[in-house]
Formats: sequence, structure tokens, C-alpha cells
Amino acid sequence: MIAAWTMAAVLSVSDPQGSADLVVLQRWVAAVKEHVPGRRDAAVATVASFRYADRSNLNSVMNLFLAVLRAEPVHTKNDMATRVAALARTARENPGRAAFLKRAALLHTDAVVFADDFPAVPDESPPPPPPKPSRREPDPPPPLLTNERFMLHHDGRVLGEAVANWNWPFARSLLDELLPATVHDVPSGPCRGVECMGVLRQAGGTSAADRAFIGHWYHAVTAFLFANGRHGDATKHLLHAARIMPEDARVLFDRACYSETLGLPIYQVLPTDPQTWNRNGIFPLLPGEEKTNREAEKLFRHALEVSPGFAEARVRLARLLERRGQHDEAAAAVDAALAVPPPAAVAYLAHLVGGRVAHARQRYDEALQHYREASTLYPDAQSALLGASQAALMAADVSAALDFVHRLSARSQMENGDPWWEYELGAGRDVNDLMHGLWRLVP
Amino acid sequence: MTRRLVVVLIAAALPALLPSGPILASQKQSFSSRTLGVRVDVLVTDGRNPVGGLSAPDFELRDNGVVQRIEVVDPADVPLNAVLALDTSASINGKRRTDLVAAGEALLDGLTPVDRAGLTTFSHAVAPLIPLTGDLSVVRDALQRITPEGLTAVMDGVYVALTSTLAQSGRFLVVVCTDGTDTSSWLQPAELIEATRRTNAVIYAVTAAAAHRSSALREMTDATGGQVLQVTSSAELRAAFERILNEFRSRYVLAYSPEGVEAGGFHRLEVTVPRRHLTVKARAGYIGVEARKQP
Repeated sequence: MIAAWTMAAVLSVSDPQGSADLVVLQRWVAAVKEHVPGRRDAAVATVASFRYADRSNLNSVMNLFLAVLRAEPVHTKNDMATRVAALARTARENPGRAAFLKRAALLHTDAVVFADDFPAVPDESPPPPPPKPSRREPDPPPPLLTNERFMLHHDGRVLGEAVANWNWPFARSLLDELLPATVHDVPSGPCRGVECMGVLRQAGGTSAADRAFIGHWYHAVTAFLFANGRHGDATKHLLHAARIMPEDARVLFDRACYSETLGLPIYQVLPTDPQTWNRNGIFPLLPGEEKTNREAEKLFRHALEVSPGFAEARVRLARLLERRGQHDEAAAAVDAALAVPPPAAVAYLAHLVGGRVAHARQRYDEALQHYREASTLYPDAQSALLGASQAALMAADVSAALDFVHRLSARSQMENGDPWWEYELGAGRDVNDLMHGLWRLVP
Repeated sequence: MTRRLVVVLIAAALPALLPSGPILASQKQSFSSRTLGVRVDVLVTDGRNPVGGLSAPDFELRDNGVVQRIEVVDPADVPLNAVLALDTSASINGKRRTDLVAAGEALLDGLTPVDRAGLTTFSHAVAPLIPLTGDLSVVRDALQRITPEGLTAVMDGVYVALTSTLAQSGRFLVVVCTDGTDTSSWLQPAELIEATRRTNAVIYAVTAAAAHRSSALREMTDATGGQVLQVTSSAELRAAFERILNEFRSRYVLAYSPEGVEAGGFHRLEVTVPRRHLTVKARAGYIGVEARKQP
């Protein structure tokens, strides 16, 4: 993405196409300056109303605008370019380059967060070209002209397609402006996955304040994407996060959760849906559970190396270990997570996993104890009650088995009644706190 | 809780594994006075058609490999308990919901006055709506109130339906109906199969044929001697439910008191009709209850 952006800058830096480009840029700059993060204000409405043509106009002048914002010397050749440069200079002076870029990222974040409050804009982006026999990835479009398609599904069924949201790659590209460029090491030829994409920019060399903002933005946006099931958008988001913050524990955790989620039944059943195969070339093949879990396990372990007290990473690692029969290590991970001690939802999940591990070891009394502890934390939560009932039944205590089931109530069916139901959300479980925290970071 | 009390509770809660009135009261078969501890629901088919008219000498039942002396109980003498476990996730809307309710009612229509029915629904949340009752109007009313929403937790739903058969007497039929796959259960298929060994229920499942996602359900139904029926549209649900009830009524009930095997642990069951080429379906086994030790 960054490579394409840089190349485009050379071509268009001094050649705005016309007044329409400038008008859109003026609207955008005004919106960035006026937006109050976390509010559904007129600035958000402006961005939410951008059609493909508007984005295309903005794209035409963005490289020049950013070059001036970086205080790079540019030679404008016409009045239009001069006016674009003037706009960038005013932004550089007020609110300042870094503040402008952060505010812009927040504006585009809020344009997605509050999208439902504004009229939907039809997608007019040209669809991506069909895949070619060559294994070489085609160059991606500029961030403003993102046109990827993702699979839309619900409860294990393919429903159709969803279009990638352009606000995310654009916001990422703006935040990239805060990072110092380092070694460019983009490999050529067939190469997939973040490990072989090279490192263009990393957050390591930037200021502590910018690094903190960027880190929080990536984590909060991941939470938003997970909470809203936008795993397609999350794919690129996390790939980019991994490139610029490869040793950030939260990024490692988010990436691990993403891999783990792909291994859950709700995703693993998708290839069995006949609708999946009617859209050849649009969706990447979903890796099998073994592969996704192995990747998740590696990333959780990495996160724990960086941050040994990361309790939820330990709980999730324990669940994966249990899945492949590593019961002793899983039990130790549960104990270590509970020793932290973690927040209630994480402790609940730890006890659930602990119950399952004990059950697998045929230690039914121990399993029952774990499930009882989980029920103490969330008295109406269904998973803990059913786990306890099952453990009691295995221990031949039919009366207790029935008692736990009888404790299921209307409250057990309430949304958010059981943290297990939110397991696939990963950081999305805390999306409200994270988003409010992000908005408070407004520069 | 002491170990001794646990044993007492098992005995009280699993009457299907113990002598019960209806079995011994049957006059249609020549029962001896010996204790008949285990009861096994058996379906015998020739192709797709149930086979009737068989008697005890036609069957061979092995309990952990040891041939047992069996008797055939008249199923009419044992009350039937039918538990509906219905998927009410968001996809069960419109015509699917209408057809599902109609299918449930059709099954209730096929019950006799001595039979009972119960209802559990599941999306990601499980609702044990109606425990086993002879007042079928209550079940009908609950069927009408089904509201589709949420994801699908098949295993959790089936487990709750199974537990409604614990501590009850009679024969137990659990009819599971789902149009998708399990996306949100906490309980795992292997755990549920363990649970089925502690009940005497026969599980039938009705699923969407297009889904091809029923391997866990198939394992579970096989473990109980039931089966999975696949339908191509919700319009076929009613016929599927009626077929299940008819098939269940055509099953044989074999009863015996285990001899030559240890009482406790898992008992692997094999039921055959040796002298004829017929298909026999029965539960794969059961967990035996050890006799209470004298203090």
C-alpha cells in the first residue's frame, strides 16, 4: 500500500487535475480541522458523503498536499497546485503536522463508527480485476481508491459480498506519515503474508506521543472491526500493524485473536457453504483450523514474551493447547492467568478453559470447581452452567447436573450474558472503552 | 457430597436402567421374575422400512461381548417422552419458522394421551422452555411463541434437551432440528456423546441437506441409535417429524439384566438379528451403575 502511494506521489505532485480536486481537498481539510472526535458532527457527515468521484479527486491532490505537509520542497507549476500547497501550509501551522494527521485519522475513524447515522453512499468503485494465473500480487490501488471485496456471512452462512471500507487504508496511510521511513525491502515475485512484505516504516523511531497514539489507534480500530465482524477490513489493518509495530504486545495479541477466530467453527464451516465457491477469486481460501491455531499459538507466545502478565493471551493460549491435547501445559497456563489476577471476563474465560482441561483429564471434581468459579463471576452465564452440569453428570451427580441446568433463566439469554459468546470478538469486547480512550487522545 | 449419596442419586435418577413397573407389567411377553436392569430401544429395518413381528429369539444382544438373555417389551406399555430441541437462530425466519412450528405440532398430534412432550429451543442461548408434560397444549403454545434470533449452539441445546430426560421414567425420543451448523456452543461433540451414554434417550436430528455439516450430529445420533434425516426444504420438516415418530413407535424395546459382565463402566452394546439380513440400530452403549457397596 505504501509502495503504491509513494510511486503515485512522483507522478502527480505538481499536476492537480482541476478545480473539483481543490474543492474536495478544501472540504476535507475543513472537516479535519472542525471535527470533534467522538461526535457525529458536520465534519463526519462531509466525509461520509464522499463518493468514489470525490475520493478520486482527493487522491489527485493528496500527494502534493502531504509533501507540503512534510515541509518537503515542491515546485508548483500552476495556480491550482499553488492553492493546494497553501492549504497544506496552513494545516502545518495550525494545528500542526502531527496533530492534523492524527485528527484526520480520527475523522475517518468516526466516519465509519457513525456511518449508520448518515445516508449510505453507493459504492461506485470499479471491482478488482479477476485473478490471473500468475502468483504475483497485483499492485494495490491507492488507499483512497480501495476496491477490495470481502465475503459477507452470518452464523456460518455466506450471504454475499461486502466492500472494503476506504476510510481504514486512508487513515493508516495518514498515520504512516508520522513514522520515519526506514529500510525499503520490498521483495518481488510471489510472496504472501506479512513476514515477506519487508519493512517500510516502523513506529520505533517516532516520538513517544505519536507512538502511543498510533498504538492505541490500531488497537481500538481492531476492537471496532472485531466487534462489528469486519474481519475483511481487519486483515489488512493487522498486516499493516504488524509491519510498523512488530513487537507491540497488543498488536501481537490482536493478530493472534484474529487467527484464532478464523479457526472457530463459525469460520471453519464457511468453505462447506456452496455459496463460498460461487465467488471464485474474491475471497482468500480460509486456512484450516490446525493452521490458524498454530499461527495463533505462535503469536500468543510471542505476545507473552513481550508482556508476560498478559492474562488473556495466556487463557487463549490455554484453549488452543487444550484443543491439541496439551493438557498439562494448558492447565499451567490457566493457573498462571488466574494468578495475575485478571478482569472478571478474562477470569471467567480462564475458568471455562480450566474446566474443559480438567474434564479432558477426567478430573470431574476439578472441572466442576472451575465451572462453579466461573458461575460465581457470571451467575447467569450459560456456558459455565452447562459446563458445570456436564461435569456433575460425569461425576454421576445427576441432581447437581439438573440443578445447574435449572439455573438457566431469562437473564441467561440476554445479549452479553456470557463472555464466551463474545470470545470471537477478541479486543472487540472492550471496544467502547478503547474508542473513548482514543477520542480522549485528540491532539 | 459423599460417594454413597451419589450412588443413591444415580439409582433414583436413571430409572431406565432399573426395574420399572411398565416393563414388568407387560403381559404380552413371558417375563420371568428376574430383574431386568437395562432397556435398549432397537430399530430394525429392511432397506428403509421398519420390520415388525420379531420376538426375543430373533435378536442377539451382546453386552461387552457377552450374549445376554433378553426379553422384548411391548413399547405400548412404556410411555413415550418426546423432547423437541429446535434451532431458533436468526435464519429460522419466515416460512422456515412456520414450517418448523407445523412440524412440531404434527409430532405432538401423533402422541397418545399417556405420552408426554417437552420443548427446548436454542440459538446461541438455550431456552429450556417446557419440561416434560402431559399437557401438550402448553407445548403448542410455546411453539407458537418461537422468535428467531441469534447464532446457533446445537450442542448446548441438545445437552439441555437431554437433561430433561434425566430423573424421568419411560422411553425418550429427542428430536433435534437445525438448519445450520454449530457456531457458538461451549460444549463439544465429544462431551455430548459422553452425556448421551448417561441417558437412555434416542436422538434423531433433522438438518438441511445442503449444509453437509452434520458429522457431529451424526456421531451423536449414532451413539444413541437414532439417525440424521436431511431435508431439502423446510416444507419437508413435517413429513420428517412424522416419520421420526412413526419410526420410533416401530422400535423394539429389549430388556435384560446384565450377566457375565462387570456392572460399572462403559458397556458396549451390539444388537443383531442373526438369521436375517436386516439393519439394526441401537445405542452404542451405556454407563453401568455399580451396586452400592455395603458399609
